Amino acid sequence: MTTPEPLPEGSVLLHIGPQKTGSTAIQMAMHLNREELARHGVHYAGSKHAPREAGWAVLGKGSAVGRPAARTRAWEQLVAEIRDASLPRVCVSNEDFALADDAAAGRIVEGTGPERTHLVFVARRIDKLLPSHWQERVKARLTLSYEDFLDQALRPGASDWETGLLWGPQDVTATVERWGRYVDRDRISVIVADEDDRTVLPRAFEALLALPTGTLVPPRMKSNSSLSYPATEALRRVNRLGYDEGWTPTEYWRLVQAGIVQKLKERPDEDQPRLRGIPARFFDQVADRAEQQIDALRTAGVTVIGDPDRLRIRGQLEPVEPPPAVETVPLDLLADIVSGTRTGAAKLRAAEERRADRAARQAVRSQSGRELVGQLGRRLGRRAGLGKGRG
Amino acid sequence: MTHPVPEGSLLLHIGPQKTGSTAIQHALHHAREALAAHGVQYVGSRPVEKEAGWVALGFGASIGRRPPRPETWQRVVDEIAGATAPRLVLSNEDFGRADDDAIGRILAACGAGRTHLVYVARRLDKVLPSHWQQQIKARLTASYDDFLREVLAPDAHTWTSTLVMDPQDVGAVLARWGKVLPPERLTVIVADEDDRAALPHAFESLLALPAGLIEPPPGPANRSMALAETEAVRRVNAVSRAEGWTPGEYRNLVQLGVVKALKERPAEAGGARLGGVPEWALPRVADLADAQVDAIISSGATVIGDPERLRVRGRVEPVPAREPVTAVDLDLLADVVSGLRSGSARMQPTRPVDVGALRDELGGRQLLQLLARRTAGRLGVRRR
Repeated sequence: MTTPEPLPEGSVLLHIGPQKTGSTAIQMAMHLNREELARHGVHYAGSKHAPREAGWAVLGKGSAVGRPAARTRAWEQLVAEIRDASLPRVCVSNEDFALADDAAAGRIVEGTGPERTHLVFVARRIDKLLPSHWQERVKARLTLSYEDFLDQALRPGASDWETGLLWGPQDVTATVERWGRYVDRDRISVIVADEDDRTVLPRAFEALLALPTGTLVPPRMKSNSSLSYPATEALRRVNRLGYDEGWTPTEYWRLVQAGIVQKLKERPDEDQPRLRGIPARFFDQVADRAEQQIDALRTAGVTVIGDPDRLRIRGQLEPVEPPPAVETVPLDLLADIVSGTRTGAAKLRAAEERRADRAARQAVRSQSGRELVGQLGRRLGRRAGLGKGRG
Repeated sequence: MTHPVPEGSLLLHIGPQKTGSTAIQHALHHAREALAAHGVQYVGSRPVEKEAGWVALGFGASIGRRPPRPETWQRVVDEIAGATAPRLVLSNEDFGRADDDAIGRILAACGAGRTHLVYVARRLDKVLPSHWQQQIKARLTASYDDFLREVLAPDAHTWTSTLVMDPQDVGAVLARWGKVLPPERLTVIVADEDDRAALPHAFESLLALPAGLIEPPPGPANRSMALAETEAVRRVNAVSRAEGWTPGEYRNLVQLGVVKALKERPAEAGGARLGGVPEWALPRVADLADAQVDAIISSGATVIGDPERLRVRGRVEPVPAREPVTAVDLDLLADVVSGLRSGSARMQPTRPVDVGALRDELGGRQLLQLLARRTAGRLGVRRR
């Protein structure tokens, strides 16, 4: 692998994902190792593994299913943190940034500093990306089967929202063009992921940030582990139920994402089939797209870390048929879903209780001045030992 | 031909459980007006006064419920005392479990001198799977085979075996009530597995009602769970025990959530029902059935229907050995989740917002600040 030159001191490394290209692992490696990074002159911006709320705020797209609206303040705070950072290099990482439209990209770079921002994103082989992306979408309420999803995403000229969500961030030409308006192309890098070598990403980040090799160690626990195919299909059935019964986004968030999905992630499911690869009937179209991706990388005029040819599918891979259709799920999977639903339901009830409480406090605050004066009068009266104050 | 009970009588139906009581109770409940027009009062204001029954029986609370309130039974007692209709009916399948003391309390309320007892005998190989299912809905985690092994053990005295088998011991039940009631006021109806109208017709005869007046309402009330559904609930029970769910949670999430959702599934959904006993259990069940027939014939009670129908030996095939249920279909999974969600919604605290109490929590200083901010706002002064 060509080792990139370290960014000059004073730089901000802006990592924009996209989703399902190993972002969580690299983010965890930086987040869990903040002190060590600081010792080597790198400030990892934010307080969690990724500044998600700040991202939603600056993207202006609304938050994930059911979550409260993002506060503009979250982005402003992140910008201030980057501005005030005293270490030689800063890294900001949020895979949602790859979803930015032109205006949002401008706002983001404005915040990280147009003169000092270096953009980095990751290109991954599409046959690896597609099953992973589909599963992520099922965790966010998608009800399409994998094949229907592929069918829709590969339809020529498809411009629906779901398809845009998939291809938009993967489109190297469009991404470079969009961000190139705000960041010079010699300050844009693409890392080509290597499916056989999980160290490519950490090594590239270490090089860019002038960190000693081996500083970034992705956590051993898979940080955003994938679900088995039966578990994903079970979840997809729950999604359908949610639509049939008209669950609110908040209900979906608590019951499914905070309840069921969390529980399912704990399942080893090593003996269960997993979805991978591209079925024969979609294979050629996907292979074509991979080649377009390679061409785009070669002609984009940006720094490419790694060999673009690693993204090639045609002649390198065979089609893979999906696992057999899931009609039944094992009882122990049912048990985990029941357990997760109960946990999620308890979270939902707790949240509603907090909301009712806030509403009640709000009701107090909205009392008229006259009522408050009366109340204060009664209080003072009692304190002065006048017995029952006048109303 | 069955003779009606004389005017002035109270017909006391004591089940036992899993012999079609719910259907007949709903039918009687829905026909209250028509019954009244024919001189029959169905005691209570629901299909069955469960809670009142627990008081009379001296039982404690069932899972996740408050203890039974004495006044519920008192209301039944008062209603019977004040009733003027020529014939009364009181039905409670739990009374099949009454001990001597409870029988004393029940008959004191009904009037021992005018009470006619009705007991329904059903073929044991049909009662047992139904009972297992009932126990699963009450948090049992034992498999059907383990359940059968427990209740069929010749010297079984466990809580479950007593609960299930004692009311089926028709000889013992009739002997207990027979200490107070003469044999001519004891009636056994033999349930007919092939004729669902047999039970309502027997009640019509006993109450001097025109044929066809008591029609069990169609609907999901009596839907029995399919084996896969029962196994799903059994698995939920195991989760609830492993995670230490409170009785209140179990009642809301499972009994009023999952089980209720499963009852609403189409009648044919879920696949095979159990419907019998496996080969290994058949000889023991046949022995018990023979003893049942003998007990009925020698009891001196009036018998409606042919007791021979209760025999199992040589007439009933064992249910074929099935592969254990290890998986559930996705629709069943969805119905379980749907049930949990609605069960959880029942647990939502619906306490009214007490603005006064919250205001009292505010200190005088906070009240002053609030006022100051309000006033400043009105004057157009901006404060930070």
